Parts: sequence; structure tokens; C-alpha cells
Amino acid sequence: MGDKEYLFEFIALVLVIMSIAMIALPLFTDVLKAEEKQKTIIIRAYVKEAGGFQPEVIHVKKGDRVKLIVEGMDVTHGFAIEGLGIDLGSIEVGKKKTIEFVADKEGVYVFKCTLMCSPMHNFMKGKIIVEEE
Amino acid sequence: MINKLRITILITLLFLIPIENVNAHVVSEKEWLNDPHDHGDAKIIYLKAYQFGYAVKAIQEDGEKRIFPDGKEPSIMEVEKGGKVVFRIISADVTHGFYIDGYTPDAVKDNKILIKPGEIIEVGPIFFDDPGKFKLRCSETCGPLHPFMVADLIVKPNTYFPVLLIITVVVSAMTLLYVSRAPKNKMLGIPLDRDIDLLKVRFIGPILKKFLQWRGVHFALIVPNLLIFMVVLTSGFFGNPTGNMNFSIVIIWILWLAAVEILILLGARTWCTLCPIPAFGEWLARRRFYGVHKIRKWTSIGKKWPNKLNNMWIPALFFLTMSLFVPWLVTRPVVTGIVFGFLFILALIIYLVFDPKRNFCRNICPANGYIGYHSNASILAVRSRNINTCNQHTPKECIRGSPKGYGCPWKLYPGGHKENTYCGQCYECLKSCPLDNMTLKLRMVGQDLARIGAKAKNRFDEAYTGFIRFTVAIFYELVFFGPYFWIKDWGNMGIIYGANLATIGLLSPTLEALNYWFKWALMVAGIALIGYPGLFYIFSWISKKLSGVNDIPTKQLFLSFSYALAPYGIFLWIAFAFSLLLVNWSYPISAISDPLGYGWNLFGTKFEWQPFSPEALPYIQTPLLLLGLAIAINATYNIAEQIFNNHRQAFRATFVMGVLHTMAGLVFAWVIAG
Ligand code: SF4
Ligand SMILES: [Cu+2]
Ligand SMILES: [Cu+2]
Repeated sequence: MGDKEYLFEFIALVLVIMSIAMIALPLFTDVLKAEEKQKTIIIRAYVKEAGGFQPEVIHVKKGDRVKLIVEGMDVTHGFAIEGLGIDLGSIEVGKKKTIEFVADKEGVYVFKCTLMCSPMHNFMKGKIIVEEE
Repeated sequence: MINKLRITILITLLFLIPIENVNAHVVSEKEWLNDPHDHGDAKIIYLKAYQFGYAVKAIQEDGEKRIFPDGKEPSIMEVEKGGKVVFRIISADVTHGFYIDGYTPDAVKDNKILIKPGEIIEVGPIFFDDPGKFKLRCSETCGPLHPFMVADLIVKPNTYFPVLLIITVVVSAMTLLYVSRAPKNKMLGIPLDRDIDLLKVRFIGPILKKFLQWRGVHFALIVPNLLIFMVVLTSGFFGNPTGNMNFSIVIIWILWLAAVEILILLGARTWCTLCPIPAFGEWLARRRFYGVHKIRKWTSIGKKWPNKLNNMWIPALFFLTMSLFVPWLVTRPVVTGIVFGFLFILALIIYLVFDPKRNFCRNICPANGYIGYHSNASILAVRSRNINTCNQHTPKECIRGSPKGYGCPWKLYPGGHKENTYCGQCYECLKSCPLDNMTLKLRMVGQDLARIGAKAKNRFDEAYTGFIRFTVAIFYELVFFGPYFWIKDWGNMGIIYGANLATIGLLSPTLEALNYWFKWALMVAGIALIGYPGLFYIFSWISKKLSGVNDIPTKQLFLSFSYALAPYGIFLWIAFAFSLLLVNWSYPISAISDPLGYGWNLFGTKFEWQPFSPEALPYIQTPLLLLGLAIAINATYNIAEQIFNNHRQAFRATFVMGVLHTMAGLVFAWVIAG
């Protein structure tokens, strides 16, 4: 075998490994990272049977500027946070809605799905816990 | 610490308490149905959207309201041409959408009409001025079977339907008339013994030849597909549980499925050139991606492949089994992931245990069965230029291999073969042949069918591949894109959840679900294994009686004539592929930018679901149906002529089988237009 052949085999091997590396794609699900003083949180909305809101419990520090991105995953959901007066309305599959607020009061805030989405819809909710710094 | 504990308890408690009354006012079904409404001369249709269909609960016409109790709803809506209709729609479960082929009114917002639970949505009045059959489709992802949430609406007079029936009969009559004039070795007027040597065509010939003889061609074609299939596997297991948001589902069951069907007609087993599934085993056995290398013992145990498996039974039964679970397979990413993962692993194991040839491909792969079977109806074939040259050339590099190419991995004698069934188009023989005798030929559909059909003895495996594929094509078009939601529901086992690996538990069926599945399985297997083959047998018997041939058993005619389904079936599958592509083209393109369904837009190719002229579908499918029918009848004649060697007898047999093919054609016509 000549050098050229070896080179070809090597290039081919690299290409194959690169293809197989695609399996690692799910590791990049959350590309967004928290910034300083501004917390960006992605909440994915699944029907409760499949896990409900993910994450369901969110911790933020008092005074943080919080940016919530709510994303519809399987069927149309709704999103509202009690006690903060936030209602994003309906969130269709593949759509995102964003809300920003400053967590200026300590406490526990419940967020919930506001549109019938599955037999266990009434249990589809989550919690934002605003803690002291 | 105590604080933490308190919070944990609070959270646990919180998740145990259900949300109280969310919507301020939720309309009940009663309110919705009884609420008096008047829209002048417009008809009011009360539609209830649910996972996964639309039920017509009431129709109000001329001030008179007819209410349909559960189970008595009409499956097809009818409107007179020029009529106006107002749809008053509620949802029984989750949020749905509303779309009518060719008639979708401009929506208020986002170009989408949403039907939210607890609300009454009024659409229209829509003015129906174009007659024909149209489909209502859900336009908002509402669960796994969302892409198949369809209802039928007919704007009368639907003249196209009777016209299509007449055209179908006329085309078959004309084909019969044509074969009654004893065309020798022809297909619809085109001689079958003529073909074009593609590698000698001016300009493209030399380029194509250089390309196919390049050692890297196989690898270069496989590797992009390997990448795609790795993404399929990972998104199947870890991506969005909803099928139409997941790369694995939309790439495999929209793009790949459609592409393979079209490729079979145009390029025979070209998919198998591109297929990455057996690649790992082959590379390992060769210990090369690119070059030619002696295959060493240690890469495989080298057991002899059992002769009993040297047929199409496993592929056919594998394909049938997949059909029994098809509503799950094509909508639940994890099921697709498991099936393809299994195929990859099985292919590798078989390479390691048995003689390192394409045993998996030849005798296991479910796609192999139908791709091989139908590729005999393809217009492309790898053949030798001169078969005598091959027969006299004793070194037979195409079997044994040479420094330039491997011996045929598909265990064929490429120089001598005359059928496409097991030629995986790897193009090794084009490289290994020192006499430059192998080439790629373009020919008319059905060149080899007469011979293959006539010599078929006991090939029940291939005949059944044909029957299963043919019936399932019509059945899928009817069930997936038709209004009979209850059949879909049986196959889906009534489960409303999508699933990836993490939520696979949602698929565990209840007793009722199993009961549903049983009905579906009985229906599919009954039609494909008994109903249609039974009919085929009866017609073969009549054709034997009518042609007055006594020395040939009915079984032989049954087997031989079944090969006419190779072209017929592939044309119907291409028609079905168009239904998939035209309606759902946006899903695979969007999935390229968001393979896992996590809301990415990597390459900016995200599109809203927007069917591409779905109202034109019947007109696109019509020529495919007619062409398939005509070719099937002509192929039957060619087969019969080959067996009987007598025009009169062959024609009579063809006439009988032609009646059956025409009947099947009429059924398909009804599915697409009636
Ligand atoms: S037979 Fe199946 S596994 Fe083999 S190349 Fe064809 S599709 Fe791929
Ligand atoms: Cu919800
Ligand atoms: Cu829907």
C-alpha cells in the first residue's frame, strides 16, 4: 500500500469518527449559560406524565434579574406565575416565550400550566424560590 | 437546614395539590351544541377536535339542526358546490389546529387557527366554489399522531371521482387491447431487449465511469448517511418525544421512506449503495475503508451462512411485523431508535459470526426485501456488456476479487446475473473486472420480470413480499391520510403520549390497548396474508381455467403472476410518498436545524408547517396509479407469454388477472378521490 492509500484510510477514519461523534449531540441541549446578575433559565414544558415543566423547581437569588424562556415540547401548554402577575398565554409546540423580571421579594412563587394538556394537566406546575443572597 | 427541609416539604405538598379551576369559563359540550346560532344561508358544522381526529357532532342546515350521538358521526363531510359553511369547533382534550386543503381562511394571528380547550372557535363562513375531495388537517402539534389527524370533506358534485374510475377502466381496457395484438417482449410499446449503456453515453458516461470506478466512491456515499443515521439514533433515544419534532421520525419516515421508494424506480438498489447499516461490519472485515485488502480470518468466526435463510422470508416477515406496529414506529422516536439501533447491531454481529459477506443485507434486512423485490421493476441495472465474454473469462475477478476491487460482497456472479433482486450496487465489479465488461444500464421498466416470473418455483417468499407491500400501500394511504380515525386508534393502541428513552414507560399498554392492537394486527395481517393473496389465488385459478392450460398448476401461475406487483406496488408506494412529502415537507427541513427538537435553529431552516398544494395530490397520484396499472397488466402478459408460449392463452390469462389489477386500481382511486 502506498502513502496515498494510507492517507485516504486515515481521512476516512477521521470522517467515520466524526460521524459517530454525533451521538454526543444531546450533551449540547442547553447552549445558553447563566450570565452575571442575569439568570437565564429555560423551562421546557412537557405533559405532566412525561415530566411536566423541566425544571420544576428553580432557585434564584433575591435581586437577580431573571430571564425565563418557556418552550413548548409536545402539545400546546400555557404558562403563568401566581403572585408575580405573569401570564404568557399559550405556548405552542416548537415556540418559545420569554419573560424578564427582577426577583425583588423573597418567597416561593408557583408557576403553572394554564391550558388543558393531558389527563394530569392539573398537576402540571412548578416553583420559583427566591432566596436571600 | 431546617429551612431547606421546610421548603422540600412545601414543594412535595405543592405537587400533590391539583390546580384549581384554571379557565374562568369553560364551555361544556352541551352548551356548545345547543347554543342557537344563525348564519343565514350558511351551513353550520359542529366539529369536535380530539386526539387524533375530528368528529362531526352536529350539522345545521336551513335552520334545522341534526345532532349525531357518539359513534354515529359521519366520517365524511359533504358540501354542495357554491355552498357556505361555518365551522364551530371545540376541543375535547388539548389544543388543536384547523386547516383545509386549498380553503384555509386567513387566520387571525400567526397564520394559524388554534382550537383551545374550553373555547368555541368559529371559522368561516368559507365559500366552497371548487368541487372535489379535500382534507381537513390539524395544524398544531397535538401529540404523536398529530400529522395524521385528518378528516375528509367533499364538495359535491365530486365529478373527479367517477371520471377517475372511468379513466382507470379505460386505461386497463386499452392496455388489454394493446396486449391482445401480441406485442413481443415489449412494455407499453417500448422494446424490452433494448437498453442504454450509461457508461458509454456521451459526456456523462466517462465522468460517471470515472466516479464509479474510483475506489472511494462507496465510502464517500456512505459516510454522510452514517452521520445522518447517528443523529437519527441519538435523537430517537434522547430527543423530543413528539414525533414530528424529532429528527429520527421526520427524516426516516418522511424523507428516507419517500426517497427510497422513488430511488427504487429510478435507481434500483441505489439506497443500498448509500446505506450505513452494514458498513461497520464490512469495514471491520476488510480492515479498510478505502483500499482493497485481503479479508483475514480473525475478523470473523466465518461460520457458513445457513442455506435455509437464503431467501426473502425473514425480510418479508420483518417488514410485516413493522407494519403491525407502524403507528408507533412512525410516531414514537424511541421505537424508531430501537429498530434502527437493532439493525446496526445485528448487521455487525452477523458480519462477525458468519462469512464476511452481505448476509445481513441479503437475508435479514427488512428494507432489503422490498427494495430487492421492487428493483426488478427499476429502470437501472448493473449488468455485463457481453455475457459470453464473462462466461469464457475463467479468472472471474468479479467473484474472486482483484487488487482493484473485492469479489461481489452480495455473493453473486455479477457478469452473469440478470436480475436486480440481490445486487446491492456496490460497484465492486465495475472496479475488479479487468475486461471492462461491467456497466450500468438504463432500460424500460420490467425488462427481467417475464423471465423472473416464469421461472419462479416455490418463491412464496418473494410473492408474499409483493402481496404485503402492495396491500399495505393502499391501506396506509387510506388509514393515515383518511378519515377513519378508529383504525388509526386501534393501531396506536389509544395512547396519546409520545416517547423517547426517558419516557418509554408511557408506552406500556393497558389491556384495552392490547385489545385495540389485536384488532389492528388482525386487520393488517388478514388483508396482507390471507385476503388479497386469496383473491389473487382465485383469479389465478380462473385464469388457468379460462386459458385452458392444464399442464401448469395454479400455484405456479399464482407465483409467476405475482411479479406484476413489483412495478404496480412501487408506483402506488411512490403515490403514497407524495402524500407524505407534499403535506409534511417542512418537518424534515426544520429538523435539520433542530435535530433533537429542543428549539434550536442551527442553520436557519426552520419552517412553519405549511403543506405544498395538498389539494393537487389526487391529480399527482392519478398518473402514477394509471402507469402502475398499465405496466402491471403488460407485465402479466409478458410473464404469461413466457410460460405458455401461446398468445391466445396468455391473453386470456392476462385478461383475468387484469380484472383483479383494475379492481385494486379502483380501490386506490376511491381512496384518493372518492
Ligand atoms: S439491504 Fe438493508 S442494510 Fe443492506 S444496504 Fe440495503 S438497506 Fe442497508
Ligand atoms: Cu400543560
Ligand atoms: Cu390535533
